[in-house]
Amino acid sequence: PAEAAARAFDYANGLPWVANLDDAWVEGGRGWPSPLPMFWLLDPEAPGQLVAGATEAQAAEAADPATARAMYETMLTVQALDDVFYMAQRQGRVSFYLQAAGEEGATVGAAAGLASEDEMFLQYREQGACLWRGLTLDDMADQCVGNAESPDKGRTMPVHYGNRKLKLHTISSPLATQLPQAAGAAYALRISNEERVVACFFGDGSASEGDAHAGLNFAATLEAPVVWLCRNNGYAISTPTREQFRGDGLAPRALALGTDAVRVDGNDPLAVRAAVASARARALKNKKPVFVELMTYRLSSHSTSDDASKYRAADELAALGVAARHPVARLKAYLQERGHWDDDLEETTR
Amino acid sequence: MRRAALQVRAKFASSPRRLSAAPETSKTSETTRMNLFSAVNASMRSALARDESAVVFGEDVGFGGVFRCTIGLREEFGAQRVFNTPLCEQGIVGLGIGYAAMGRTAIAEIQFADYIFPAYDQIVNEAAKYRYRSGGEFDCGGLTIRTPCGAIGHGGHYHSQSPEAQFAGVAGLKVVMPRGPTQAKGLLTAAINDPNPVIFFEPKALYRASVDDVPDDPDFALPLGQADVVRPGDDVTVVAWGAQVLVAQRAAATAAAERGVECEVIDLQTLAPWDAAAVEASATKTGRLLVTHEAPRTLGFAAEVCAYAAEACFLHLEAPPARVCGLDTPFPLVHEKSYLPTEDKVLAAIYGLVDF
Repeated sequence: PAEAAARAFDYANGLPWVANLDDAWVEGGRGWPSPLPMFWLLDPEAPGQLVAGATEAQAAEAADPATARAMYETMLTVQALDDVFYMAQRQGRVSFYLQAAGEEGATVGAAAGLASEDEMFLQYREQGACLWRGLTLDDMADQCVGNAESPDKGRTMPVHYGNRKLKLHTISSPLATQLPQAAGAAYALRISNEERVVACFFGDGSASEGDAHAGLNFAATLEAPVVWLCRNNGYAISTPTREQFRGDGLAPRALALGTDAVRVDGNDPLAVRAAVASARARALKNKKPVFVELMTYRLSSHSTSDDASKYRAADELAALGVAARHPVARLKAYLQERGHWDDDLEETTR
Repeated sequence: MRRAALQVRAKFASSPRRLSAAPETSKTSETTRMNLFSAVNASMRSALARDESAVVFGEDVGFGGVFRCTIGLREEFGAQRVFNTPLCEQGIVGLGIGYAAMGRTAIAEIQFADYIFPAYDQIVNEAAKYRYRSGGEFDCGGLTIRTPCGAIGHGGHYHSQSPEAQFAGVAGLKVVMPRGPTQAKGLLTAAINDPNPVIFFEPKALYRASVDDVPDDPDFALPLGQADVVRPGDDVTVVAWGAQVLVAQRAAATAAAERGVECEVIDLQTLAPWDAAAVEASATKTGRLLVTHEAPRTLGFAAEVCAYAAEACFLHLEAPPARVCGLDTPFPLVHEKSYLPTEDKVLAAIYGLVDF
């Protein structure tokens, strides 16, 4: 079990880390440290505390109290949403569902680091980003059930969200197809001088697709301002990352193609927001793509059609100490420690 | 200056070697005699002038393209709007989808139709379904994909393919193929303007060899989804598209001269959606249908046309619908003439229908 745990997530456990975002950014196309350091702020070993070298000012800049609370509430909503829809699927009311357990901070934090006018391309596990953007629970229920209210008119499988007003391009099942499309959309923005970016989510498995390389390379050569957001969650269905690639995660691929990259603890919502906000600013300033690798962990099975216990040891989660790294727990501790949250609020919100 | 250059090129291209002369058109001052790549060029030029969001991109388009279709465009419209991409067809099409999804016009070039297959997923699973799967919230209707196809005499497996049938059955795509310069300009303009993703196949053998008086009007367009009866006749319906239309016309001329058989030659022009009504009307009239294309016989587009005719015209047919197609082999190099549906094979099939 310990080996299995190490296989799935070893680069995050053994990674060098920094508390300064400037030290985490690496310029594309030039020599880079190996392995790439990971930026974080919230100490996973000491709930409510910041890592050594991080300051309160940094944390407050990452997200002011109101924003941090809003992020936390959205993350709780993700958990509640996932619980309800998972059970609905098991009851036969919805044909399929994908939970985002463990990745609430990665997607909510990333969306919170972007602007509402940025175009967004998604993979399928970013309900946190959709909620932050303004997709309602009704919208999601309509789509999952496939009723007449659903914008796709019942044509697509559950969780294939899309919303024109919110600039969420409709999700498709083939993986990584959105990467070259994101490059094209961003090129459109650049040549018409619009001050906004394209955000493009994808997973560690999708990054193996040819389309992923194509998207990264096209955005780099055409100088298209995409904020690439790679959720490295350790698994692609049953395939751990050690069977997906042998390089140092995904960020070095972007570096090799000439794109600046940063690696961040995807389970630290404050660090994620700070990193993505800085990525957005960098993309807008340079009119070029940037790459953010969100180191996280898929706590749930791949979907309701999957049972992770068939390929994942029961004590893997414990061996990784993942509970201590849980984004919801870490942000809650941070807020409570500073008096922005308490148990009463927790109960009423839940 | 440009017009003079086009006319000079046209002079060299005006003695076609194996293809018959371009169809008769009026030689008024509102047309310019030009070849097919110049007509394609003219259509893109007017699209770039008319639509400030329009961009042209693909491998090597910047310097003018390996078939000269994009010549002069970068100089006139700038490197932001006419640009080279990395060598990656799935990237080219994906880029075009994303650009078009932002409500803009994307004119993508795939250097040879033989190399379109890396982009097949983006075309079939993404472009064709972008509007449908979003319930109309999003679409990539502004995307047009241009690609040279067909036999060229020495292309072999990977510079000769005609893969139109592998796209024509995909709901959400339009598939178009012109037979000459006038059709190329008119149909390409229509394809670019059409609010759906369109694949525009350009028979490469016609780029220089096919010359015509092409209307100057920058907005000149021909309707998609409409066939063209290029030669009326009462005895046999011959359906073709692209360069094969000229083969069909030659066979029709020989059949008329040799045996007084009058063929009605129809150029489908658009394969998706195809003008079934035109073929039905003609086959009902003649009772004899022949469909001919360079692509291999099995599951080539002739199969669709013949199946439809069997359903719609059964009681009017005097003979089973006939197909004269490429062989079911990869496209060979030195054996090209044996592989292709040449005039003699088409003529034999015409007589076979008449003598059935």
